[in-house]
Amino acid sequence: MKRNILIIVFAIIITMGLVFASCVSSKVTDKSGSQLWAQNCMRCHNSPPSSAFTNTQWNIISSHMRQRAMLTETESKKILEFLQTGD
Amino acid sequence: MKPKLIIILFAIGGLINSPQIYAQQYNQELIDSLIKNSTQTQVAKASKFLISGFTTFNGKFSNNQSTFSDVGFTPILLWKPHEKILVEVEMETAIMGNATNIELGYADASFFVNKYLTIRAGKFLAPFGIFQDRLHPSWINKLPTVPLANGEDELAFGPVSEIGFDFRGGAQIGASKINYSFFVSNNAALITDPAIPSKQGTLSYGNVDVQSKKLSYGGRVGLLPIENSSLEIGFSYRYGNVGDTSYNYKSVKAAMYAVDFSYINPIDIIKGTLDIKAQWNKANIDNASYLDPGDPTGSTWYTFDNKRTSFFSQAAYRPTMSQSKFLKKTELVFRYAGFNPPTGAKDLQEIRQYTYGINYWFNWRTAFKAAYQSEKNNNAIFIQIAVGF
Ligand code: HEC
Repeated sequence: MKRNILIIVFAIIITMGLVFASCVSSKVTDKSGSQLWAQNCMRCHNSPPSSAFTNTQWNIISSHMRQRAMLTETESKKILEFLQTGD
Repeated sequence: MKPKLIIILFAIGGLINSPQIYAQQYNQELIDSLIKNSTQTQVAKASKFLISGFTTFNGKFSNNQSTFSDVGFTPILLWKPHEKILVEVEMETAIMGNATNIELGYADASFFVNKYLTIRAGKFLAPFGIFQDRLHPSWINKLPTVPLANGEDELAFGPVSEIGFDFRGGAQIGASKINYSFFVSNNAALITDPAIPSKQGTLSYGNVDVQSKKLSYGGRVGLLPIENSSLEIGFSYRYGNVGDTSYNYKSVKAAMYAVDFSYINPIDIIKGTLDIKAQWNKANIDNASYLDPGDPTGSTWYTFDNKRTSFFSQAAYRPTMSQSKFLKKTELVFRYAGFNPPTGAKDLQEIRQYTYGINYWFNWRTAFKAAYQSEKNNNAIFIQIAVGF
């Protein structure tokens, strides 16, 4: 069936993508908080500037977004640090 | 039944409260000592509570109808009683006719167990595709309307929320990332009422009064293969019984599938940000017999092959790198959505929907949106003011 072929092609593309991407060196751990903020916080909605909330508010929001966006712990920590010191 | 929901909420509240009581006793000593040291500001910092949410105001104008509708106010309460616990509650209030409707959008507690696992319990947004889980709030959705049969409109068939447990988390694999969300939840309920023929054979979700032997389960896996996280592809599945144990329909099962796609990246040559989102859904519900709405005596039954699909794909462009302050805040959006009904179902037909929109963003979550939407014999202009707070 056409659909099965489509799914298989999709799966191959993804696997290849994963393999190629793993060869690139910039892992989450190498990235700065601001870089992770720029790359992740705009994926679902416009990214908020660090001035939008206080540090205590960012602490709560960071847990909310870690849960919602299934961010890794490292990403979430680095982004929170950036947002709390950003202004 | 509502009381059950309240009991669940209380139970969750109880779970979270017990360490809180402890903390309060402990805090009393702390507070005393802090007062002595006159550093009271520390106490205020320890209480973590945030009210967020959004308001929405809509207008619809077509050849035979002009109306301001769907005034909505959706507060979200976020509470972090402990470093590893987060409670989120969404109350959807909206004006329906001349009455105000209040619905509990979600109410759940998340426990951050370790690096790779967060457990949620309560009523939560279904991790099925991306529209409900990520894009439905009006300040996020880039158009004033919800994509046909993908949201909560009368043709929608995918899950909106679930009541149960959810296990989720994310990890990196080299420079790629993977995320997952698996849940066990109450069964969806099969709608059989002949009063709304187009709804016969569809499902309602997030019920506390569904009685069945086994729970439903499902989830989503998301892959972000590219190092800058610009691309995500997700696969979702949901399976379970949909009939009540005490009913004719007790052996009816439903399997649902979704594939979603997100790509967002600022691109130099187009001087702006390109945002593409798409989702395809399929529901296979076991065949069942429904009362024929056309027969006034209510004694004729009919059945059909209950398989349906829907999809939407959306592209948005915003010249974020433009010199002009005005253009920077302007966004163009196009969405194509569709619904393919089961053959033989009553009052349903194939629909294709085209929506062309323009938005002006006052800040990161306040927008004025206008769109022209065309469906067969059903064209209209929509406006919306969405304010996140
Ligand atoms: C997977 C999609 C997704 C990603 C990625 C994401 N968000 Fe969100 N965000 C949402 C959704 C959905 C809401 C709305 C919550 C609701 O209405 O239930 C939201 C709401 C918010 C809010 C409003 C307050 C709140 O917590 O509800 C802030 C602030 C926010 N996000 C900041 C961020 C930041 C900072 C990042 C980057 C770490 C981020 N978001 C990444 C989906 C996402």
